[in-house]
Amino acid sequence: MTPPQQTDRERVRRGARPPWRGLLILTGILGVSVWASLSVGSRWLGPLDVWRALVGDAESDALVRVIVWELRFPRTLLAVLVGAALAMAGASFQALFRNALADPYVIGASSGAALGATLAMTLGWSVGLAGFGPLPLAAFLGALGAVLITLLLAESAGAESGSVTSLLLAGTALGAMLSAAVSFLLVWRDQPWFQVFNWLLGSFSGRTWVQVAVGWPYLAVSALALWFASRPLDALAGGDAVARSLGLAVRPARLAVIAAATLAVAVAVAVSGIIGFVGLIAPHAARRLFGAGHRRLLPASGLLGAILLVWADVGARTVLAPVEIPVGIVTALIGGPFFLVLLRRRGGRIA
Amino acid sequence: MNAALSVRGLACGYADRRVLTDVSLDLRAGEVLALIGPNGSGKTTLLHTLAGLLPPQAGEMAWDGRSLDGLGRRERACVLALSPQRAEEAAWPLTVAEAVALGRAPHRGWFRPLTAEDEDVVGRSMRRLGVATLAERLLPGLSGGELRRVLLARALAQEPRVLLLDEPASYLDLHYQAELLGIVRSLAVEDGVAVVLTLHDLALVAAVADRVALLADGRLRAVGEPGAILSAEHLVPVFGPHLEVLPHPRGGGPLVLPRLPGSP
Repeated sequence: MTPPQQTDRERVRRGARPPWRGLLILTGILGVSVWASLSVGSRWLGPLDVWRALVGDAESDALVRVIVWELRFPRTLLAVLVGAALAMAGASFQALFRNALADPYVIGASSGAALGATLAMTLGWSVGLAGFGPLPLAAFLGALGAVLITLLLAESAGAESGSVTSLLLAGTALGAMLSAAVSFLLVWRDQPWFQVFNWLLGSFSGRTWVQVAVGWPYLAVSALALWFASRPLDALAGGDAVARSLGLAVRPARLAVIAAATLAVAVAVAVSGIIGFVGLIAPHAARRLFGAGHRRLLPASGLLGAILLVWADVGARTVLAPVEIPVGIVTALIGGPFFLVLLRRRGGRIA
Repeated sequence: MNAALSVRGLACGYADRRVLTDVSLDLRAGEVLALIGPNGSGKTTLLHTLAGLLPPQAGEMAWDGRSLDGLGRRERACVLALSPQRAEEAAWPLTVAEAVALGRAPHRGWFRPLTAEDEDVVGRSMRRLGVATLAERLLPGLSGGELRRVLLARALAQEPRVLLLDEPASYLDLHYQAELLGIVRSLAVEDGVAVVLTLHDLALVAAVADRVALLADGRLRAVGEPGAILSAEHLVPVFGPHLEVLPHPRGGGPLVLPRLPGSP
């Protein structure tokens, strides 16, 4: 017989262990998805062709090498990065707001980014910075600015106890105002709708290694920061009172999570536009599969978000080929029904 | 022996509203103190102020002769643990083990992984509350009684010297009430933990508490043993005339029961 102490310890470990096997399986699926994404397109490539092109086999077709390395690989990697970033940010916001409907854009990042981008377009800005073109830079700044204003509004609005609710309300109100401003600008300056539309619904069309190179350090930093915040997030999901009574400095922790998530979202928006739904459904699916402990949930959400967005991008460039549709349309079309199925199976519970 | 928790001239409440003034209390290690009073009398406010969720508006709180103001958040959470009334995490599917393990955060910090020693404390706490076999279950799947015990196990995993429990018995069936309050008593008697709990069911007070503090009209009206405080003389001015104080038929402290208007 094992002593009770040992069985207890074993139970604790089993109950709190990261589900390595599940994460490994997801990583495998992601690998296959990336491979598929490299094969599919206006010219279909066999798995072996992809491999040869990837390793730079001298006998492989030069055109295929260009297709794989210069066209498909960067945009696929970008989809992986953006999908993972949006999903992790979404998971963090859902815990922070204890609200299953929160998504990465819940406190105004998307409408801020949209306003920034629209301003850049209508005013014809041409200043880039740090590898960002003028439009992504404006979107990035718009997202950061909107979140900052939301934070200030929430702070000035409310008692400390209600600040999570004030944040949500301030974010919603600001989002509505900024969206109105975007529509106004578009109508007033008679902008070409399609260009803006393409951007408001997100796209990986024409993205190259430049966007990957610019985006990944920020996304990696914020993903790492969120992962380090996983235990504080566990505590915050139980309510401010619980978190505080466990000795957590609630306000700094909340601000740190918001900062990390917002950085990820702003960079994602800057490189690919506003892609909806991934950041909402990937965490939900991950929570169903792996539970809500953020040590498991964040990596699982990231992997699921990446898988989802890679396939969405494959869909976006094949459904109406040779025309590409905005990837946000695909995420909503796949994501909506998927979400409804989740909702049904869960019988209306919150998470 | 030093008082485990000592409160002097404490005023507490919210920014725009003072709830309690001039509360002074002493609590010894191993003692259970019940806070009673009508709805809105400040039981939970006092508990939250002791737990550090609300800043005190005046007065002193000290633990073992040290001012609580001088303790950092984490140090304070190593001494005082709160088990709140509302369990918002009930909707968030952490495993039981993860939820209880959060109680180690004040000792281990928020970033370092748990040590084998932490795991032992978590395991002991779960065993003590009878939830060790639920370690891998998710919180939303638990019954009300199981969830209460899990939350108490988390507070216990903090290895506190003072345990603050907000309505630990509410919404529980008789069976679970008895079991939970029994565990609370054993924590005090066997482990020497000082316990402050709020109870709105006055029939339970004498069974679990060594002393009773009666809150009403924004102040502490009386403190004393259950036999002294649970009397018509103390209770009627506060709760109104619709109550009955009876001696417990098997001995022990008095029972307080509601008396319906119009009954003989």
